[in-house]
Amino acid sequence: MSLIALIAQASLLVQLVMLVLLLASMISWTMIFAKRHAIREAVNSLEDFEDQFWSGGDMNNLYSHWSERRREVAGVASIFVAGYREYKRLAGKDDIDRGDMLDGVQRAMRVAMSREIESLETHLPFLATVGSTSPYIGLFGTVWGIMNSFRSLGVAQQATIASVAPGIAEALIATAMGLFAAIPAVIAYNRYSSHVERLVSRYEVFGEEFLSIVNRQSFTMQKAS
Amino acid sequence: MAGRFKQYFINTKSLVYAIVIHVAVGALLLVSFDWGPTSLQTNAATPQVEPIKAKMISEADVKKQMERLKAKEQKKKQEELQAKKRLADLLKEQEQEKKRLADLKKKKRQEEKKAKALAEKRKQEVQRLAKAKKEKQRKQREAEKRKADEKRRAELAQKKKQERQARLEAERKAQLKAQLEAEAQARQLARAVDAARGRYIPIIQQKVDRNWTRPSGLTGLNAGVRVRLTPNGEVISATVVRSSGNPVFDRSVENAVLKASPLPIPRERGVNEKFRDIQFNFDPDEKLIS
Repeated sequence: MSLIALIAQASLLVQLVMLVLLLASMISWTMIFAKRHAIREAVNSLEDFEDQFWSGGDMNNLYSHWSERRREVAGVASIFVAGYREYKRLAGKDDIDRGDMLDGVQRAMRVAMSREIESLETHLPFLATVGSTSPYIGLFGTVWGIMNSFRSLGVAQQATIASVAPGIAEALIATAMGLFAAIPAVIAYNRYSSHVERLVSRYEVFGEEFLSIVNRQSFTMQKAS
Repeated sequence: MAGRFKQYFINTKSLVYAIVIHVAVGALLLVSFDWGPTSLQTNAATPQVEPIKAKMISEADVKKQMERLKAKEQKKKQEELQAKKRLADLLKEQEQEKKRLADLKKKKRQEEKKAKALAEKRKQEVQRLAKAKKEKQRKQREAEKRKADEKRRAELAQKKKQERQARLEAERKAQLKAQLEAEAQARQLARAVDAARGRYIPIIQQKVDRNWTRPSGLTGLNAGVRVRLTPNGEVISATVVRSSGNPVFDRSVENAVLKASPLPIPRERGVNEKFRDIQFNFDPDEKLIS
């Protein structure tokens, strides 16, 4: 009586539940790996960019360097590009107020940032859903299987523990699968959401710093003119 | 494009990782889960081998046995031949029987055909008769129906005529009644107008008199005035139709009437219309008498 035999003997509904749980587990693991890759890449690119940014090079050069590679710009670089593009556009106008300009730059950066956050947070809700619901799905399969085995116990003339035990065992496999799908999903969800939060706060800090630089620069420009 | 491809690649890689993990876990479970009633299968069946028994045989015995076998075989052959012949005979007989049966069948079929044709003919005859009868009945029915129709139509026409006459009669009566009523109404209206005239003319005269200023030194004069009025009693025009002989007096009367506007007139419908154009006599000294 191996595991496969147990699964094959189970009723259709329990088998369906198992299939659903297997699929959920498969997808959530796929997302775990994909997300891990994405977050690691985001952290790397953030560090690279910050190194570049604070190395004291010309901001114009940095901008032209990044805005040329339009497609690959992601993460903090896209925030920088959006803010700087807005700054250049607004600084060209003579009669613009400094406060208005700073507001515009900030708005552009906020838009880019929210886009970045959205792309970082995709798939996280799915992990949360799998983590919270798959134990229940598994439990449902188990309850159904146990119900069936008790019913057949009622029909049998000779009720022994041996006639019920396999049914309950096969039903419990569904719970096991639910837990197997849920535990990694919950762990991954917690871990990745905290990572994403940390990334977002770093983006925000960068945005503020960049804004202060822009403020300083525009101030000196205005004085010079 | 490159970005999308990269994303796709990453997803595929992740999927492969996920599959690998599941397969690994499944294999682990399979290995560790293999329990079952293996300990119960101890009484496996052991096969029992039978010993081989051998015997010695002489050559003469063998020859004898062989001859016997040959004779048996020949006999068997002969019997087979006879059996074949019998079988052939039987077959032939069967064939003949079949032929006879077929003939019989054919005859029977022909007879049936004839009977059928006869029956068909009789049936047609019967049908024809029935049809003729039916036709006759139909004609009779039609004739009856036509008669009844004519009768009904005549009755209908009669009825219609009576109805029309009755209607005409009723109309005439109604007309007469309406005429009578109209006349009565007109009479009533005339009476009402007369009554109203009797009541209102003096009031009008009084009002005009109140608004009249006497030209100095003129007494004992009176004049007839014609006044045209709106339905509310407002004066449209006032003209003296029977002069007093003194134009000053006449003008003063006209002015008085205009000033007295609006004049009190009856509001009832029918009577009000008769007061659009009124004539009355203005005599300032009359009231001293009355």
